[in-house]
Amino acid sequence: MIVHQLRLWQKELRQQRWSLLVAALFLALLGLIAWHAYETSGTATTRMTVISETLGVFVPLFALTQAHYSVVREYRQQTQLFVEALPLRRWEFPLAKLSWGLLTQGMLAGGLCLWVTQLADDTPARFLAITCTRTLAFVAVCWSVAFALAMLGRLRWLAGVTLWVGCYLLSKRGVELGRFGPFALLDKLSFPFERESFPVRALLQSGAVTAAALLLGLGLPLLHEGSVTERLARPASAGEKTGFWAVLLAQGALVYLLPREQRREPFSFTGAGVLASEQRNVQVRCEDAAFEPKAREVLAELEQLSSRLTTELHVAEPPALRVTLRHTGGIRVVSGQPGEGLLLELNLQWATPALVAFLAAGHSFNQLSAGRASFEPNRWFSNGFARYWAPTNDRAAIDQYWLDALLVRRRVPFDEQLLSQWERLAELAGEDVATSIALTLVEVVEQRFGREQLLQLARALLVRPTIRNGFDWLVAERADFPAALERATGESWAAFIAAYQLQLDAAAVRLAQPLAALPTLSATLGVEHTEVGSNLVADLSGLAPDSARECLFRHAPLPPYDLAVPSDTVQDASLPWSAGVASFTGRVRGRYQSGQRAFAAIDCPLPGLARYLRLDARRLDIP
Amino acid sequence: MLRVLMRQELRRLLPWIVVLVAIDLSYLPLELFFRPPDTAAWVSSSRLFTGSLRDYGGLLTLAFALLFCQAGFPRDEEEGTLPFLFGLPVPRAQIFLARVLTPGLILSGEALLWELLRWTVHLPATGSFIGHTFRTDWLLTTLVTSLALAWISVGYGQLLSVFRRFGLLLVFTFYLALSQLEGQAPWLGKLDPLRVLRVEFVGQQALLPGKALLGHALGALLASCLAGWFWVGPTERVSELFARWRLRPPLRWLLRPVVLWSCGALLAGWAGVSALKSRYGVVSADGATRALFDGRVLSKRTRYHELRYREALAPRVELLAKVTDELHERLATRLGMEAAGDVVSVDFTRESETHAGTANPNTIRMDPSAAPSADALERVFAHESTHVLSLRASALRLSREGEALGFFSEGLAEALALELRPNAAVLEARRLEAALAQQRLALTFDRMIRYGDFRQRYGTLLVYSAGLTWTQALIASCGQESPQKVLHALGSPDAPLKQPPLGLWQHLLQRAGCDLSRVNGAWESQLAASTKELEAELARVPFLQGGNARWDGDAVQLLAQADGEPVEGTVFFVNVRTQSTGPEAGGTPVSGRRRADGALEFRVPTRNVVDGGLEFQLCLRFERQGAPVSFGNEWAKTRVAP
Repeated sequence: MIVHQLRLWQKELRQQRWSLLVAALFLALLGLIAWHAYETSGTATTRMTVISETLGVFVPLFALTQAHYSVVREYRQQTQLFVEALPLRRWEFPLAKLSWGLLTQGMLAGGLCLWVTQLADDTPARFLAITCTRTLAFVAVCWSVAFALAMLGRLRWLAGVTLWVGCYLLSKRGVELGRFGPFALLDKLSFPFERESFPVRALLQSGAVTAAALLLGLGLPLLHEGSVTERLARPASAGEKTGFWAVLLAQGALVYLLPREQRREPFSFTGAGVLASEQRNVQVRCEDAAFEPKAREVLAELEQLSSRLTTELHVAEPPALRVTLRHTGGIRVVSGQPGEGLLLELNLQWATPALVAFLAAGHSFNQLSAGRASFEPNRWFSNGFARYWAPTNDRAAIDQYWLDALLVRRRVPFDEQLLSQWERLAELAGEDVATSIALTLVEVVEQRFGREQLLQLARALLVRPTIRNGFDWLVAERADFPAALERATGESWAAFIAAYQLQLDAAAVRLAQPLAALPTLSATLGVEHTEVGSNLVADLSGLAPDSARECLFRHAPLPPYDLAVPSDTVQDASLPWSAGVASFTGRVRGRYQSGQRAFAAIDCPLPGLARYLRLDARRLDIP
Repeated sequence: MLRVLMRQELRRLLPWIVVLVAIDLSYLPLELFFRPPDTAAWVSSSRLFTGSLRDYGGLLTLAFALLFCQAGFPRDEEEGTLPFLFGLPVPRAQIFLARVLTPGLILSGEALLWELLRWTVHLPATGSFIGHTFRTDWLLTTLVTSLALAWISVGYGQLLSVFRRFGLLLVFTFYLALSQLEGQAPWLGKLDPLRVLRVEFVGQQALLPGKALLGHALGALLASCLAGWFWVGPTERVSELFARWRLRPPLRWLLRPVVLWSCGALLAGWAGVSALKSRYGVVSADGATRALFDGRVLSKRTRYHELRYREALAPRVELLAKVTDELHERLATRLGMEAAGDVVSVDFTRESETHAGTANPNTIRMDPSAAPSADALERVFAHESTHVLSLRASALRLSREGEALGFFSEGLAEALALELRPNAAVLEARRLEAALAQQRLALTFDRMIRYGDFRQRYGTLLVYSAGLTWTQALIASCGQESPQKVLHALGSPDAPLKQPPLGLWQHLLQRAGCDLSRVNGAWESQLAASTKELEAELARVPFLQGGNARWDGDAVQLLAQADGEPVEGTVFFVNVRTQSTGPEAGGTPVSGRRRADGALEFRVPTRNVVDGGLEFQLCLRFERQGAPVSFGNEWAKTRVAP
């Protein structure tokens, strides 16, 4: 038997000698590249990384190639029949191929392993034994799987892709494949560093995989005197190819359709300083016990909001609401998938109950509608409704918002198109003031069509996912503004805006006195080039303030294209307007370089106005 | 006749064309399936602006070009149909032309189809800026670069088909080498044909990569000519000539063996030189530093460590060896774990340009030249030992989940190192760095938990001070044992590793009996307090701004401004880089001088200019009570003016 095996190995050697030589050169090249990377790296800690990095690429690639040349070709060209005609036992032929592959790959991989180990002269015998065991086990598992796949003939690609898809899905479901047998053997975080313990578990798992693959790889050529392997080796028919593609497509769909991860439970606070509602899923945490009364006010407002979401907007399960009130920082909202709840982190300085309710409502709408509430045509309604409906607003508070709208109208003409384009409006007027304008629009909706109609619009647009994908877009009824308004009320967007303009004129008369008291300010933005870089420049002018006015120079880098500027990329620079000065120039120096684009805006506070007023906003090219 | 030949080629390549079109078409249903079609902007799927799409599209084109070329002459030769083909009454040049034109046209068609699909997908979009995201000049630029890549790939593919399947191996090897070596040899990147897809912008104007296009077009033309000469040579096929040579005894043993063995000899030479270099420690440091790496390698064993060092370092390392076990045990106690375990190998034999020390499970590498005093050396050792032990405590997940936890890993190591070897000056220096970052860079937790982006934006230095202050806030608000609880929660089998970074942190801190909001609140309060306390010092640190670059002889002159009077001994430097990912993300420092008018002038080597742009980070360093304080602006990019 041994003589037969040796003869068969001779045949394999004759057939593969050049391929083996090229493979050896390829391995040496890979090894040297990894070696060079190790030598020049400032962070690599051990030479043994060369082995894992090289063999991680080489062994699977070489196993697949050798399996193709040694098994697939032989069976496809039916040259195995010549060997089978010789006086050999049937199992000797596949066994010879299997052992030849194991021998050559083991020699190549083991050779590299020993070479690198020999150069790393701090390698004790135990470490060497562990490294070699891992290497040879990895070779065995790769080769046996490649051998088994090769025996599947025309089904090998399908089987290979199915294996890959299975691994991918397991990984997406949270299984750490890196810790499973074959993958763990050459793991880059353990292979080069594990000096004491043999990876028994990984070896056992790899052994099981190898045994299963060998059972398939050696069993198939023996089954029914090899006829199964012969049949599998034939080229696929047109019908089979169609079937393969169908299976592959189904697998592809599976990858995308299966939920990637399990839904998390809503976040909950731990520790002291937490106020929780007894009826609703609401918690407020306050850093400072001295501010507990304020926290209680916030809690009451949120309880009310959560309750109204159910009673007025018919939301069966409102999002869990969590609020942290802190001494520092700004506003931060963490919103997960539907069902995971909302977490708001707010500075105590600004966290009025009304603001908290507005933010919580806005982000709840966004979560309940799976993001559709922030779709641009719906955004003004979403923001305006959240500010109008969620907190308790009295007439004086609402008039402040009308005043905002009237002030913006001084600089920006409110036409039908601009009022339907939230992103442009928010850029020109500032997001906060744009929300004020949205609130006035919502109030006009209520005045014209009644509260029930307004709530119906909110139920249709804000608390259910309307359009989630192309299927919904094609099939479901689209419920976006301004089409939704026309469908619900019978009034066109143009007619509604005309009515709104009239209301705005009426508000201008009603609020003439406070409006006249607010000064008219202006700003012009530009770019200034100096020897050491470019500056953004703002020229501000208007009535000299009695006391210093803290304006803000907002700026952000822009990509070459024009989309809405994400608010988290915008930075603020202080722009103090000294008392008694009618005009001055402010700069953001050297932040933007030649060839870049930048967004710039000037916001100033006005006496008697709770918000910053935007004086100018531009997108600038730095020459 | 050419048309007939091309039609025949088309028939032959039909299955691959179907696959290619299916791949392109699958993009459309997926796009429609996963998000509302009215939210897709034209630029969001553009190869001009999205690096991953550019690489994916480029590799797809390259792969199919190679497949098409492999399905040409090599397959004919393999199947023995080449003589029939040459038997046709057609000039051989036409046969070759058909085999170049057909794949080229198919891939050009694919590029056009892709753009058409993208254009169709963005039609339902309703956003107010959508109309401005589509520009005809950008579409033309995309088409020019995509079409150029298609034809260039076919040209190179024809030459690679001469090597049959080894051509594919050559391509694979090239890209593997490129990924490993481009950092040290940026010129290698110029050989990559996918470079023709990289487009730089000045404002909104797209700049075609003219040099890359021209160079690769000429290269592809030359490659095609060589392939044509080989496959359909003027008098008789060159491959036949080779085939006949193979049969002649003197050449038979010369051809393949000599080529292969000479390759082998070259590789062996490279291996030998590398081995000698590594064994006998050829280092690039200055004289004083080099002296530390002289002499034979010695080793010293302690209870938990095995230290390897050069003779010249013996006094320092032997002093350190006396305390290594104590440090290890105290750290293990602090992290709530057993001190026993695998012996940690500590290597002092190599210098590092970028790190004072690095650690992996069971292995530490330290560059003693970066820690000149015994106290500093012990602190670096404690820092690296913390990495080793925290990796063990977290079942290596601290490294595997490095994107979300990288800053904590460094912060914890720094905090424990300073706890075990306290140094008020270093601690204050780190506080000052963090306060500077808070004041000038708007440092946030959300940025820290995206470590790759953090390094791209701020480089690597800031992570130590930012991580340290956050870890201190964690300990202050959640208790002394909170780091070990976080590590154990991370190492537990049911840790939710597939969560986004924020979700992972929320979960880990909940398991540690704490809240993320509480820690972040404490951190922000601490930073605010530091900023207030150190206000006067912060005001004395000059503001770095500007960055005008222009060619100046054999270098690039970069001008910037330092506003404010620096403390004595302040060093100004600029980090420059050609890659924003991987180990090179930290960049290479270039020192500058401060002119009398306060302007900073740097002379940057021209090799750092990529596609006419220079990526840089303005930095300064000064000493505060004997401890170095570093600060760097965000990384920026500027066009180099003529």
